[in-house]
Amino acid sequence: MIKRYSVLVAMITLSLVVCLGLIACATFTKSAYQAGAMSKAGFELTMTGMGELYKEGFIKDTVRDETIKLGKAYKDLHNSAIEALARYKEKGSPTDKQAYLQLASEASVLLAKFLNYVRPYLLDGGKEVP
Amino acid sequence: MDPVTIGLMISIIEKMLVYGPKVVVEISAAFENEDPTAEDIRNLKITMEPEEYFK
Repeated sequence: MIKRYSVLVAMITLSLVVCLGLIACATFTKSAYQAGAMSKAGFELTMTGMGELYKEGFIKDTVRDETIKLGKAYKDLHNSAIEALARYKEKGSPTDKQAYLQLASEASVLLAKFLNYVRPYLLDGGKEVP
Repeated sequence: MDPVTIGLMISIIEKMLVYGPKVVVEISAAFENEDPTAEDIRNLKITMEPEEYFK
């Protein structure tokens, strides 16, 4: 009787752990997905703004080149982080989750650097910033 | 306010009217997606090369 009870408790506990794991995975993936969507939209909107300023002659080639350089670096990191998140969604491997967290952390630092670089040009309409 | 700045402000407002709704729709769709699939996640990849924005 006690043994049967223990097995039942173990099964319930295991089921709860699996359910909690799935919920945590879903919540984590959903939050990361939303963060990725926000980052992508922010990046694309910023690049569009910088592109328009350049086409209208408000920013110089040097600023364009630096924006492209930072933009490429961010794009690569963002896409690597997204790929790691997609793999985590498919397989649920902690390694992919860890890889996503590491890449997303690096990408957020780079995005901040990128936005910090372009911000004065966007705010001041491309006037040369010292 | 000088004419160049006014022109620029009009241009920025014009662009925001074009791109703003697109961004809002994209972000809203992402927030309404309760259980994104791996394909949904991969759709968040940035596909356009940065230099293309300046052409």
